[in-house]
Amino acid sequence: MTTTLVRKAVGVTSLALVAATVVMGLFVTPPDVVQGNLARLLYVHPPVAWVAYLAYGVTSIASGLYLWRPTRSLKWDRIAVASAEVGVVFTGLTLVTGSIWGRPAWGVWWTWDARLTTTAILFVLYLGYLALRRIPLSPETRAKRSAVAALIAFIDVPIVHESVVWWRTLHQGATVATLGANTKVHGIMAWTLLLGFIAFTMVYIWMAMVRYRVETMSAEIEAHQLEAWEAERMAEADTSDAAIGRLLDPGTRAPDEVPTDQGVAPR
Amino acid sequence: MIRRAWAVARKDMLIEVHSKVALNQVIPFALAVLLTFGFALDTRNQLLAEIAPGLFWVVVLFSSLYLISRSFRVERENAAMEGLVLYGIDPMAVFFGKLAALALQMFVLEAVAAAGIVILFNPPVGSLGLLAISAVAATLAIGSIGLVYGALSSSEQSGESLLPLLVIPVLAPIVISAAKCWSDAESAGAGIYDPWLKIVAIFSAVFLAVGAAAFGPAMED
Repeated sequence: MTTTLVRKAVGVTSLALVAATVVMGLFVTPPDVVQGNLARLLYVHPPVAWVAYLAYGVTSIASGLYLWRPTRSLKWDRIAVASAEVGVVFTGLTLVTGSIWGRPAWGVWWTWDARLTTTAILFVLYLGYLALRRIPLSPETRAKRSAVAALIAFIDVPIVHESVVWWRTLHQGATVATLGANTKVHGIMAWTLLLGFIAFTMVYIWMAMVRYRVETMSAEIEAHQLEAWEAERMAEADTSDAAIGRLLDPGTRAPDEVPTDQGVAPR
Repeated sequence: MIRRAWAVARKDMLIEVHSKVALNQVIPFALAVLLTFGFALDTRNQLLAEIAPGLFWVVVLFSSLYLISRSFRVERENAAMEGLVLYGIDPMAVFFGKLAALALQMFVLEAVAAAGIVILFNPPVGSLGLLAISAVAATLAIGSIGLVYGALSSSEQSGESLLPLLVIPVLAPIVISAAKCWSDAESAGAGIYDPWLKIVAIFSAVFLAVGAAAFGPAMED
């Protein structure tokens, strides 16, 4: 009951904060000197990217806690999958909003910048994690295997990032990454950006909570289904037992059963 | 442990010697892909020579996925993996044994693919030593990660089609650094003190350690 209330409160708060970010970002803040209205994506893109990293961080911690025997509980597995799914959504949003910004700012939808490439690999990496979870296995086996995969992904991300940085810097030097980074953010724009971070973090918490509940409920349904099948099998076994009993002991024949040997006159 | 790892490696090699899957299916597949690149890129020799380093590692990575799948298919038949677990064999021994057998098959595959690329597309080769050492390092990394994900995705259904999706993004750093090694090896002055060789060696060491540590939990359910 209290969890439902908390979840609803978080949902309403995140909705209100996102609405406030939209109002601040679109109407209250002035357009940027250099980039004009394009800079308004600043209030969405970095917060969304931050949430993606936050979500994968939570997935990694939860996976680690599942693998560590003293804290092993399917609860951690549910937190891991809930967070990873939201993370994949937000990684997708990061790529999309980045592309929308990149097209007018850089003239291309995509460039092989270190950060972009790392994000793209991150996206595919966790799509693989979610696909791995789809293999039909027992909940415990699935939890263990996906926890191992999540931890490998966690170790892999910095390696991917380093390799891509070296790859690009040894190749042509980072030209685009520094373009927006030196621009300073002032006053109301900074506050709106902060608001964006809080709003999207709340959205993440809310989505992860809802997703966690869905995961818990589907586990319950699965358990119920197993019980129902078991009960069905037991009932089946009872009826067949009864039928065998009747065959062995003709005295207890049911009235609707007409014995085939009756009505034939003895010769 | 070394004796048991050797036994596992020997078993996998014997299976290959008897079935010849790598020899009859996977290596010809790699050659077919090389020919396809020739057709698809309209035999533009200059271009094909330029992209040879990346081409080599893409072909090797994709072909290796078949070898990795194969390595786990033989364990799933007759529940052989459960047998190994029940025998109480150290997962580390299974990992290194399977890695040795897999790497050996991959070396043959790489030698054939490299020869195919040099003959078909004619890229310059400056340092064979750099090529060979970087290939050994990258092979161990591909093998380690491949074996862990092979164990993770091992199931009666849909496991094999999932393997490429899991392995390819994780191995992106290896593809980048190994292809860079080949690029550097094309110049005449290249040697084994190449900066990319250090990078590929460090990555391989990390992936080997990750693979050895993760294989145990991935293998026994």
